[in-house]
Amino acid sequence: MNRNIQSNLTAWVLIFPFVFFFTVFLIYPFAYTVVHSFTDSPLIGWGNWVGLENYQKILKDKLFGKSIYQTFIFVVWTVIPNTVLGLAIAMMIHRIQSTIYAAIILGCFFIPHILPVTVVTDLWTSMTSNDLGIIQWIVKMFQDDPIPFFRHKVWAMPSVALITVWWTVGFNVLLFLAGLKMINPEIYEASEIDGANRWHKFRFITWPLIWPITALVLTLQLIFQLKIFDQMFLLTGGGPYNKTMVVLYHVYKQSFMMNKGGYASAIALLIFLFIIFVSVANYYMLRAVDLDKQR
Amino acid sequence: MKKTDITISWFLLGLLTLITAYIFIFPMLWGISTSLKSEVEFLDVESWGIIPDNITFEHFVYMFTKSSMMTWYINSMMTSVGVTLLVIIISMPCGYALSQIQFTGKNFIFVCVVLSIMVPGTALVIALFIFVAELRLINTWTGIILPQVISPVCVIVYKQFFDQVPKELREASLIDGASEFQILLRVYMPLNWGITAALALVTFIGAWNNFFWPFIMTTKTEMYTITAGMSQVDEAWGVKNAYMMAVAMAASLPVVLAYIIFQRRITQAIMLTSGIKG
Amino acid sequence: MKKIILSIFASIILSVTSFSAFAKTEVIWWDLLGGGDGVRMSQMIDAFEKENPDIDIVNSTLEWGPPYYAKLQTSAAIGEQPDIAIYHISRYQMAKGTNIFSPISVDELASVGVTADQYYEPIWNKAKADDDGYLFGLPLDNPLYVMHINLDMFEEAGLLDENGHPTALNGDFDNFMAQMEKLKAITGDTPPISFVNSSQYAIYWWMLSIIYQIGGEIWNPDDGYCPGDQCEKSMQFLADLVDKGYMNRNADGATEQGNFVSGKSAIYIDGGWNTPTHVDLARKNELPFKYGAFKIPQLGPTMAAMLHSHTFIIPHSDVDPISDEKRAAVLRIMGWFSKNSLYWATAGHYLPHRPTVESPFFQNMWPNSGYADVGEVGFFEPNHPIFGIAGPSYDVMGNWFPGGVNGDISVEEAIQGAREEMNAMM
Repeated sequence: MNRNIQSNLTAWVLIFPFVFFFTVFLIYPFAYTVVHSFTDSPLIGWGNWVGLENYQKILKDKLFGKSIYQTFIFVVWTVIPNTVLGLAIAMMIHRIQSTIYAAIILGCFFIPHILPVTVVTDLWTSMTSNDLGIIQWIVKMFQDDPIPFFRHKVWAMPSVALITVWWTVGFNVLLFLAGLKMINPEIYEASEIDGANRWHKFRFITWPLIWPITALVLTLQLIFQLKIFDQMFLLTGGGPYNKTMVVLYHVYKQSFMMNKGGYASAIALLIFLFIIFVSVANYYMLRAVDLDKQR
Repeated sequence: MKKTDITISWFLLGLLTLITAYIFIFPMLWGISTSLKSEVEFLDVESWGIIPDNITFEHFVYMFTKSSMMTWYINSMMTSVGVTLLVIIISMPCGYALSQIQFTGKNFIFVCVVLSIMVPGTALVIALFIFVAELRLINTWTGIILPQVISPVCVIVYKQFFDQVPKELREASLIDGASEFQILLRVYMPLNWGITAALALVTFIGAWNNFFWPFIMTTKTEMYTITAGMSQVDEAWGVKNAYMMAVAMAASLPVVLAYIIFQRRITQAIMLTSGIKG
Repeated sequence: MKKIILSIFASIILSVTSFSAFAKTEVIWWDLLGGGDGVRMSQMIDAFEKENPDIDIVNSTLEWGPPYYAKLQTSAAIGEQPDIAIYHISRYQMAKGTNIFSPISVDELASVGVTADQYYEPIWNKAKADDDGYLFGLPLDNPLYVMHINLDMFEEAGLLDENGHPTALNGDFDNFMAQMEKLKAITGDTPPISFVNSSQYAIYWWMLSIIYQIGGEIWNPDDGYCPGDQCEKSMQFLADLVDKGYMNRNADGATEQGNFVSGKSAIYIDGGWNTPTHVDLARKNELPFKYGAFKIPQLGPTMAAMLHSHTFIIPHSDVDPISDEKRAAVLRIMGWFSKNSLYWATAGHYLPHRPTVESPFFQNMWPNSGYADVGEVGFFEPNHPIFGIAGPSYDVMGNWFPGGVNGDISVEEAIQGAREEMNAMM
């Protein structure tokens, strides 16, 4: 009994710093946002209690519906290429024998991932600038006028997505590479004796064995890309024609531009619940495959 | 016949790998190249070569002598190091307790930690801002650092690591009369320097790259971090492509260097934080 | 008047040697003035400190636009607000609900020598917080869009009247197009007009003036945003200029100003605040042509030009209101800048301060004299909380306007899209 109390005490001392900061900088702001969402507060300060009015308003908010849809589009535009490209690049690097050469090639793909978002957007703004950007130089081989990629009705969303894929794919390459290394090479050798060709080897050995990693990549990418905000903030401002209006940008706009703090809080909470829902659904998907068994 | 076939496809695949890698690293090369050109050379449409005709360091010299960049750099360095130290100091004991000690509320805490990964930080920024303001920490390094010190992922990684350490180790130490603190500091910590280094690296990179929080919470230009401050460069100085690229390259230098030097550790950290026990 | 100018110039030069003999009142100052404006403002601050050694202005310049105003508001909420800040007059109606202003009474202003009769009536009224003698802030200037022109090309095309003014462009859209054809014959591959049509700011600031010139309005309480078809007509005019090759498609800032100053284009329609840049180039003989700046062309029955205004406000805070001592110092700053705004006008701005505008020096100042009478035809955006620089209306326009002008979507789609979004917010 005495022993029990003592270990309880020790444990709480050990976790106290984390729990303290967790409460102060996460639970408290979270609770604040929850309460805020039931009021008509401005950005700063408190307004009147309005009950569920903000949530009812969300249902009628066309732009909210549009922003949910476009967030989903962005997720599709990024998560799928990220996964496919990630696996393809990982397979390319995996077949390189020389360690140093492999490290250099991996570096080429991974370095974009560690850049600050502002550097990423500045690089691409510069590369797509009207007269001097190298990409417009390519565009001019096909047409006279440069394409304003981030203000174009068709190009805006795919451009931001493409840049995001460039930025984040290195992370997935690393995960896939680890997965490929876990596959025992003897399995391939055995299948070659059985006369398997390149495609057979991929389809019947690599793909099923790498699936747990694929599932993991999909989940992590989903959670990460659903939170898309910075790139829109820095590149498109939600435009043109609201075509890159994603959910967190809608929150930003409602709070910082429209001064509707309470309403923005309500949307923010819904997004949080949505991300939890998606993640839990994915968790069960992942549990279906035990990672350790595959090793 | 078969042998030639393999050689050709081997060659083609190698070439494809090289080309793809070049495409991926090209924006960085473009950035480096542009940052070393004068504005005049950059404006000259004819000379778009990746190797500048005349290499100049004028933008870097200007940046560190005449602009606020040096201040922003110091802000970034101090806050990122601060975040990294605190994250490690806070997460390790927490992961240890969650892994090794049976105590009331353990499961509840762990569920909270996992759930918090899903909170979109952008959505909490306003509440955080007001709170940090009430603490009178706006425009301070402390204010930039504190909200970033909760790292659920680090706690989970430490917990998983400690889970793998054989139970006998702790039990033997307990019998020898060591306290939990002594066990953590003397027995467990020396075991996990590799993990600590890996986590510290990615935490540092994450803190250096954090954009929105420092951007919102600093209201004085001299308190910007480099990541937040550089988004203002083009606004305040007119459009200067080459200078802008120089700023971008300077801002990414520490993280890129960190990656090049510690490539293996960072790879390890990515594995750990995404749940692959590599 | 010249004497005053000289004394300002002199004190700016001497201000390097400022000294502190006794306790100073420290005044925190925020502005959003970049480029040449920023340089001039720091010179004026130095000059003020030189003449008023008991006041120390600690100034910082923040990023222009939404971040500036968000930061002003957040800092006021926590008592970290500046003591004096530059604020766009167009945002008054939008921001009055946020309690950011500490209104200034007419008596306070009178105590530093500023009175209503020194100001043009429309702007004084626009600055009013109520009818009981309070203002939200004191106007400093009236920035506006003007037409910078290459006089050599205009001469060659025969587009100057006997006073050397480009009045031949006035009239209607068709006439304007016909004259552009003449200029295009001279400019050749480069379109005759430099205009940053990738930005909603440039589009709106010219387009709104055109809407008023052809008898339209941007909003009225009964019909909402863009009533009538003048919005479509004005935007169609801009879209036609792009289609006919009179201006670049998706033109960005650096290229457009570059084309003008290098003598490739004939007209640059942009802020009057670019005037000093051009004048400096001309003085250094780096401008390969004779330069002039004029009012934007009149394209309808009435002349109209939209005015903005940078004003001084005293930010309010419930947490930590400004002290009486600092407030007194801030008022003295306002009074000084009001009297000495002539130097500020050399940044190309029009001024609301009547005695300065009516001074012969201002009237003859080259090249600003080309638009020195714009006060009579200037107008401001309507008094509705939705309007205001860097506010929601600009966000909506950024969404729709550049696409409409540059042919990414049709003009009707662009205006209708903006109309629906704006009306939904009102």
